[in-house]
Amino acid sequence: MSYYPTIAIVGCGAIVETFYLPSFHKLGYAKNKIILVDTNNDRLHKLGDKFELKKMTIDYRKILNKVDGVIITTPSYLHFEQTIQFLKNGVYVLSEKPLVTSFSQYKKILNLEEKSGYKILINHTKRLFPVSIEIKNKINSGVIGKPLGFDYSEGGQFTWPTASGFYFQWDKGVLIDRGSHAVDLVCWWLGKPKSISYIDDSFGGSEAVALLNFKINSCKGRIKFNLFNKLSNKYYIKGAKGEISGDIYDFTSFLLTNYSDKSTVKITLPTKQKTYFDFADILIRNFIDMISNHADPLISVSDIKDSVETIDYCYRHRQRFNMPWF
Amino acid sequence: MVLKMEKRVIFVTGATGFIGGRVIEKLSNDNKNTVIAGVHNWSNAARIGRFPIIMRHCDVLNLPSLKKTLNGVTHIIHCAAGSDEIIIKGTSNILNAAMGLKVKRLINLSSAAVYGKISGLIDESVVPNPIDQYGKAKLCGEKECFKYMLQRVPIVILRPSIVYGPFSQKWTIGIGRQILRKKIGLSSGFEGKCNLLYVDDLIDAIFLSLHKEEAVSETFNVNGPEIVSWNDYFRIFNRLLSSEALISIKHTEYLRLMVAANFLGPVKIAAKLALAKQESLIRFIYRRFQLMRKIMDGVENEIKLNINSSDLRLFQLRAIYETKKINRVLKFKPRTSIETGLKKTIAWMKHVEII
Repeated sequence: MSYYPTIAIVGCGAIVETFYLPSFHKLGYAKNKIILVDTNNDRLHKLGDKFELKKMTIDYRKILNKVDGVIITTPSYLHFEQTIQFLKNGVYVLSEKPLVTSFSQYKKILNLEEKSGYKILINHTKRLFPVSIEIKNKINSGVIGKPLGFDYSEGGQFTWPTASGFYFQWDKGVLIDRGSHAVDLVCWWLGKPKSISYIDDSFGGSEAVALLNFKINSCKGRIKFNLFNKLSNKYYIKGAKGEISGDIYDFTSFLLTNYSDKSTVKITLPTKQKTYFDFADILIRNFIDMISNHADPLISVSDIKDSVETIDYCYRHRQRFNMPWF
Repeated sequence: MVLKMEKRVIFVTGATGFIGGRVIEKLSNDNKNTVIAGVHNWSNAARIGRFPIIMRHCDVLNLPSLKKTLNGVTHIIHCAAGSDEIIIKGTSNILNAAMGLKVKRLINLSSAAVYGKISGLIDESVVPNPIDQYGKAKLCGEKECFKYMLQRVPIVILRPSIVYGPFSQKWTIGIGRQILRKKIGLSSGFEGKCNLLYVDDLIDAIFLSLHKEEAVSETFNVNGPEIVSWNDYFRIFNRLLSSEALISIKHTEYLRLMVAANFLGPVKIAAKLALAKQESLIRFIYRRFQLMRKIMDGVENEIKLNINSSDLRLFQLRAIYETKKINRVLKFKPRTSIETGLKKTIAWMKHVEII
């Protein structure tokens, strides 16, 4: 790499320590071209020492016009405002999901992005999984026929080593966190959900159990999240001619069943990525390419329109589970 | 339950735990007081995060930071539990901080485990003689409280019995799974008394202790409205949980359980030590290798599903924790029958798909 754009990383939580900075390190990125930003000075110095980075600040507003790109990994409800500020200052943005917390925010960001000419890349890692791409190809090519059913369940005790606890200190929870991935995949694979019904267990805070039922033409779908207990953690897409199923954490293989000959084959895809964390390399390479060569983002603002609108609809029409033990 | 009208700042330690979590849920719609949840590990905050409450990081083992965390607090409900160090040193630190803040009330959650292996009717005059590590640590926590009572810190000690209900790992989820997997059933070794207390009844006792002056400097047993045998508990639980009959454990099978329990104890300790020393490596192996994940899940399940030796002793214990004192002094009346408590609990278990 001959040119190193100056990149700020705003928010230095667990995702930066385990995902982004190891990737910059692997790429041999110029250390004086990375600026760490976090309101917690101790955290800044901890990461600075670990990754031998010297440039750091506690106030992102001081570097708004001093960087070429920014990676935003702050608490979810800050992504929108910070993205707007950097875009206005002519800075490319790589934002952690969710980019926005409502559809109205989405429209503002899309509008500003178009006007500014600076692009946004969003970390919807699951779109980069070989499995996700191959499933989309299989559905589009009609291998399983017309989609009729969809099921996705993701459950397990929350184990992300969050340093700030922001996950649980606002009015949105597992749907916008895990759901940003799952709903995005549904929209990408099958189209925008209609006839949505959504219930969760929020009492004004962040929901931990959520259930989304929807229809897309003749396909009936269900997505379930649970932060208290392990669920099957599987997905399936049932079609008129066959079905696809797999483990939600497996990014290299899935099962393909053909109803006509009743065969099931395991499809394993070649990949350089050994763990989830290796997908950061793809994102960062794309982001540098965006800044240096005006490349298109692998996951753009317009790509996530349907999922943002769907999640926004869910929150605006949320109902609470019947919970007699309260 | 309606709290007194004065403006209070109530801090709950161990707010992400089973009992602390329920305290927070019950206090969450209390508009008259300020409620603050003390959170040690943010990863465990999913339950209380569902409520729009104030959360503060709280490390009971770090006295200087604890004093800052508790700044402005008027009442403390001390539910933090865990290792011996957390129970003993953590309680001592909370008391130290509370004294400096001149708090108006501190409720210390102890346990009936302090009484140890004594049979018969046990009231608060019985001298504690704990046998297991948990009971010993809780008794040390109480002794710390007594020291601070002499310094006029307004403390109430509660000794709940077997607390069950939603989110209870040991006496609810664990037993339910053991019943469904046919790892537990009826046995002559399970005729001991099961002093079941539904978690909401314990919360009532906590709230009474929080606002009644008569509670200060007192120690109270807290128990449920019915005393049944462990066999009865398993029978009722099974009837509400499953359409199949509860298994009967014959004498030879009971002996096998005892042997397995004695074997599993050291295995459990070794697993805990390994996890404590090599947590990141073990988690990496768990995530990376599917076969290892299966093996580790299998071992964990086996450990969880088997009855341990201290439970086997408890299932034989014919002790009843008397609650005349709390009934008389605080007008405490447990309201939840075992049938009702279990029905609510099972509805929750179904909701989160534990069963």
